[in-house]
Amino acid sequence: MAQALAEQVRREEECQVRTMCRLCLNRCGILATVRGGTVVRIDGDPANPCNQGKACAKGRAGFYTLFSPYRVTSPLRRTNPEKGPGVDPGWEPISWNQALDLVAGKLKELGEDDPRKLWRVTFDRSPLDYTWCAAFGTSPQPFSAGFFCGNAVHPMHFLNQFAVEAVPDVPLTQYILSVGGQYGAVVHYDTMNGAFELGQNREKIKLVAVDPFCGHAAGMADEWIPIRPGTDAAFLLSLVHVLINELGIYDAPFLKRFSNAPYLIGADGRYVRDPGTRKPLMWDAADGVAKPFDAPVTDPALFGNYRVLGEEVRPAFQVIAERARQYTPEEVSRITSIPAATVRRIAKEFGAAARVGATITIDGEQLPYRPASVVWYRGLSSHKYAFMNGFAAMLLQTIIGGLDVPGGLVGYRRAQYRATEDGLLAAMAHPGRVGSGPGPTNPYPARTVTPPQSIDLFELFPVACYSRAFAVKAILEPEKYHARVRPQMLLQRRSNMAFTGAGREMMTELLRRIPFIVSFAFEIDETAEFADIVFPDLHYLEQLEPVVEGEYHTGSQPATFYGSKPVLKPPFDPPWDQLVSHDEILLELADRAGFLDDVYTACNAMWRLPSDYALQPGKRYSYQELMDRALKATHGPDKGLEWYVKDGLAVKERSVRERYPGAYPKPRIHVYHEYMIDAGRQVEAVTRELGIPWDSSGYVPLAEWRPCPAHTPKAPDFDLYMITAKAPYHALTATGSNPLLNEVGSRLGYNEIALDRDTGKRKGLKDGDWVEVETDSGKKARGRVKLTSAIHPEVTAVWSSAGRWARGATQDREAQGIHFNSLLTLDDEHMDFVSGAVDSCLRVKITKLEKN
Amino acid sequence: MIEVKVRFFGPVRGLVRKKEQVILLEEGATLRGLLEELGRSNDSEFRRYIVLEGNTLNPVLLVFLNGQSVDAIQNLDHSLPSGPMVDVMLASPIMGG
Repeated sequence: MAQALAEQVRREEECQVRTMCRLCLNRCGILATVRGGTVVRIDGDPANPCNQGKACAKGRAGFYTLFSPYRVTSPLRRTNPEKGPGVDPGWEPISWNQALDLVAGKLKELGEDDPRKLWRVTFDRSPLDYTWCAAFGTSPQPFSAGFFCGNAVHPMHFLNQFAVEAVPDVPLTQYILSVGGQYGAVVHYDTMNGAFELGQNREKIKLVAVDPFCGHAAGMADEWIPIRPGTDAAFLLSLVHVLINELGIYDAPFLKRFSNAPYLIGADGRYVRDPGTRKPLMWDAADGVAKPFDAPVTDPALFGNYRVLGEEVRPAFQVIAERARQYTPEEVSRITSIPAATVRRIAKEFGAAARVGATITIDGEQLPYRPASVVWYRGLSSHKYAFMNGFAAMLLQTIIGGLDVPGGLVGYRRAQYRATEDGLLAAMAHPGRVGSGPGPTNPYPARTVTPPQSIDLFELFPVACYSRAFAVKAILEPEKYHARVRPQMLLQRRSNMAFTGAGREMMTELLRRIPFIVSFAFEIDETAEFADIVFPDLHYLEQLEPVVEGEYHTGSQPATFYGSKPVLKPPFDPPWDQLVSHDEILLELADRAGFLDDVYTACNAMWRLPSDYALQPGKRYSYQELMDRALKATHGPDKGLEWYVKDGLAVKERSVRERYPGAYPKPRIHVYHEYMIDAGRQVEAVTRELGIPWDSSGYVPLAEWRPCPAHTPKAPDFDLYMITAKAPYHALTATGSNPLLNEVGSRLGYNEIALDRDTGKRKGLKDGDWVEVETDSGKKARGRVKLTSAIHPEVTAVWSSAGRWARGATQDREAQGIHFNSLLTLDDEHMDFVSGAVDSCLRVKITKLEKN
Repeated sequence: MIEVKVRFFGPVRGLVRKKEQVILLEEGATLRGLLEELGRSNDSEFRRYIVLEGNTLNPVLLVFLNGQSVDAIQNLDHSLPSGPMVDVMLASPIMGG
């Protein structure tokens, strides 16, 4: 089928192929125009609701790299055993057969020893990634994506929305409070849809961006509120305080019926339980007695102090309201630098926009209407107390009853859920369809803490969705952390961990500790430079890979299925008659290493293949046959590979209940996190027993603000915070070698250090001056200053993917800009032992250099 | 008696140091009974990982019965399916992001 498409493309003078952009998480549907056997244009696919016919500059320029002179075009073997940035690996081209045998031999050895010693790192899920890893006996990980990414995001949405992510319900929303994120502006899951809908509805939506840096999203907002880095939780909790304690705005009926806000809390912070049934109790204000949560309760109290079973108790919401009083706008102004009047005004605007009590009729059904949402991302995740930041943001959205209802914050990539014995919602990990494994795991109920078994010590993180930064600590200091599994082989693709991990020296040391590294590389990037064997990787315009979840949507959009198709052949000789996916290489490796039947078994189970399509052990199937069966099992017998190649787009409208599940009865969600108390005690007990130094003080049942290390500088002359921000013209490191995008970035200051104009003048700096940046941990970098009024006066910022040093990214020239992650410190002080996040808010001083 | 073939996938395979294990159970045995037996016949590390004290099962564990995924916690006390050979897959978590 893929060959037929290639033939058609070759035959026709000009044609358009429907496929998918793979440069970022948004995965836009695109149309690639092919003329004279090559791609000449990329447009958004107007039939695909995920991006509504739009494509960003990165996506439209995506075909430029097809012809990169730095592409890997044959398997390579390293001849120089010395490894490090800039060290010539002494690449030697070898045959596919040699490379496959070498890697399969290593896999066989590891499989017989302990398969967990294979560390599979990838940020780009291909259809077979999960099943192949499960069959071998390990699991795939995006690695550095878990350092400062969804740490404060996924657990919160899983907890209260049984979803991995959530976005404002544009176009029904009327107020978006964007805190520490760039919704609709930079690489993400809902960027193009968000940008389009925000543009279409600009008149009726107020967008407020709270961020130390007026990046591209804040630049398009109605209002930018500069905030001191790492103080978001204080700001958010102040909004909660004003709403509850000053304005009395909260959705009481929702909180009473669908949250644990009325559960009674004792002096020890735990639920007060019925002595017989152990069920949490609520106070029935109508009858004046405490009753189990599932008994008929006429009026569950949200406020008050009561005496129950001889103990002074309070409803959880009363505890929250009292705690929030610590965050008065005046006190929070001191912490955040945001004027108290602004905090009060934003709370008032947000509360008014939420229209608590209002309803809207959609498709004949009357639903709650809460057209206000807070949306957050990396700005909250990349801090010492990331988990608490996420708690604070989710609390604000929950008290207005604005979850998964029209106009509110709507989740996607949903799991199923169940009710626990305490009547609370617990999202369930779920096997997906084609290639997708279970999503990030739910914080509640907290997982049982056991001695570490995983490379990243995940067993010590009972509520986090991942703990990948701790892999660095475990690999570099295995005895200290009781790390049982030390990776002996790294199989790496599309996750540039040498660049995106924290601390260049540390990542270098980490990669040197792994005896055998295999990279699938489009170009030799900073990580592939450490490889022992390199396989050529495909451009996304050369791949046949259906979207791995089976269908995709964000927020309240229709469910859409699509994927990538091979528009062109790769510019190298494939190992067999054609190569359309790196999964073909994984299958061949499994065959040579003797676990292909296990891959089939895993596919049967995880793809839920019915007997008609189930794979039989002992038989051999081509990759395209596997895709055909998986597609038919998911979409029906008429929608196999032939349909996928010819059309491959299926759009399904979702019912009101599917789009807005928050409007319908379901188990109660959390405003008070009692489970954190036991989770923390378990962590403390296990780490103490093993003698692992660990900080379990972050396991608290209520959101709070705690300062980052940068709030206490090690010396007074370190007078600035330094942060990083994503730019819209680069997709992480995936676009670093696109000369067109590099030129755009260069013209827009991508390689410069942003500094407040007045602050710069006080330091005697002007645009273009060379400066040295030194962190209070003693790390240094040099760069050119760009003075601007679009940054908090105490802050300096660099762009997140600047400072690349790989040959393709620099075009064989000197590295440009500052590599922010090289300045980070991966030590106990800067790591969140609850969410696994790395604090990436630095304290620095800037010194003018006379010349570079 | 029913014969249950348990196959280990993902990192849990490294924990038990084997690809599969066959266990004989009484007719009507439950998933809880199977996991308890697995805990008894493997070393303490595995028992601690499964953690089946009281009603608590480590929620990271994925269970497939005859190829179908089941919510292990909700189905702990349900009888295993009947048949000449019950196929159980145990897999440990895969984290996305």
